[in-house]
Amino acid sequence: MARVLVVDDALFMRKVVSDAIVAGGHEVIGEASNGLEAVTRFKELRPDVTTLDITMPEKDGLTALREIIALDPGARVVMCSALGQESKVLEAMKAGARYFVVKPFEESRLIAAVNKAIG
Amino acid sequence: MSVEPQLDLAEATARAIADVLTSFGVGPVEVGKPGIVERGSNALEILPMPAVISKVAYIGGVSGGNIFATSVTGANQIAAAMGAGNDATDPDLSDLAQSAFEEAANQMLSSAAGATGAVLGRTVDVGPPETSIVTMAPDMADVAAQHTTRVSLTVAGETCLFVQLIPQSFVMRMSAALKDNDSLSYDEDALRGPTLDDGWVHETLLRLDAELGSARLTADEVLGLQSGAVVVLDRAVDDPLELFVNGVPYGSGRLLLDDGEWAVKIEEITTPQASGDAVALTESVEVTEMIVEDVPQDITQDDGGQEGSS
Repeated sequence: MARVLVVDDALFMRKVVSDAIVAGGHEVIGEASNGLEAVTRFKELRPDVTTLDITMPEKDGLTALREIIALDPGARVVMCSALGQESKVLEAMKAGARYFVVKPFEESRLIAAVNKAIG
Repeated sequence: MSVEPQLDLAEATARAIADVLTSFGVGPVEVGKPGIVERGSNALEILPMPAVISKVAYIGGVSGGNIFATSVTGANQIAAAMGAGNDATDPDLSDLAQSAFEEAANQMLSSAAGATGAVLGRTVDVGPPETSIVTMAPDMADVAAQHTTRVSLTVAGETCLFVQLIPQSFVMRMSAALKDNDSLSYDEDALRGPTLDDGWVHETLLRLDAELGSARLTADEVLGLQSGAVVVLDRAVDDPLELFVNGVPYGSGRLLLDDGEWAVKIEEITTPQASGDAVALTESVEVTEMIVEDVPQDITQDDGGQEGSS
């Protein structure tokens, strides 16, 4: 079971992602609604896995990813991107992300990505 | 100038939006005929009120953006299809339903930006969506200078509007790309954009890029690049540089040093202006463009349904 931090600016998506993670047998230990909050919560909670939206206000997901990887180069981050953000996927890979789900996604895809991240 | 490029773009992006809507399982989606919104007209005034409006702005120094709007009933229907657990016939929009609608709009408008990028041959990024419920069509005067297109979509019987605020640079680039592809023909005026008879044109700042060459690499190859690696470009040393003004092919020239600064001597120009002038490059010379052809296998992607996120 992984301890997961869920980051998305949309209340609805935080609920969808959290429900899927719990259904997959993992624990949601915290949520954040923007990149700034994500980095703060990551420092506090040191989750096993962080799910990170890309397009967010205050600080976007790519910037937050770079800061999280700087804090912990071994951080396991699952990026959640929308269709049309393929260039961001490449940037995220260069920044250290290794797992992706593209919205709209099936619950099983997200669970598989989290399982792969902790595997 | 011909309006066809804007209409082609509106049609391509509306199709991308319809595909995303369909993936939510919202029911039948009918895409209407795209139209140009005249300057001074309000693109959203035909929408029944109250309405829910979600808009994203292009980022990266590009003006304009995309708007998706519908009635409260339409927003409730989309939110219900996303799985927000709301009543699709509710006259009000709960916080969770509004968030679900905003997420739906985010996915639609991101997809539309991707479709725009595909048409333009460049990346188009958008910022986060801003969503609001309005009782009257918001003033669009601040975007009156943009090219504006509008497409109506009927989603489970409710009218939705997709409005695209297109910067002039997109129109010029699109016109050139379409002409290069020879898929449609446009008159020469469409390639040149506004004419010099338009007084404001003389004061407009334009960006001149000189391209040395380009290379195509897979994502794996890009990720494998190390300091000191050499990437071979598709141009010989003695080939001329290609010149672009605001992304539009403008001619060719030769790289030279002018008092310690890189400069380009223009050899050929594609529009009727004098050649032979040396133009100092105050902005960077763009060397290469990398195009991702293959996605590494450890990227988990899904082109399936909406089960989990709805």
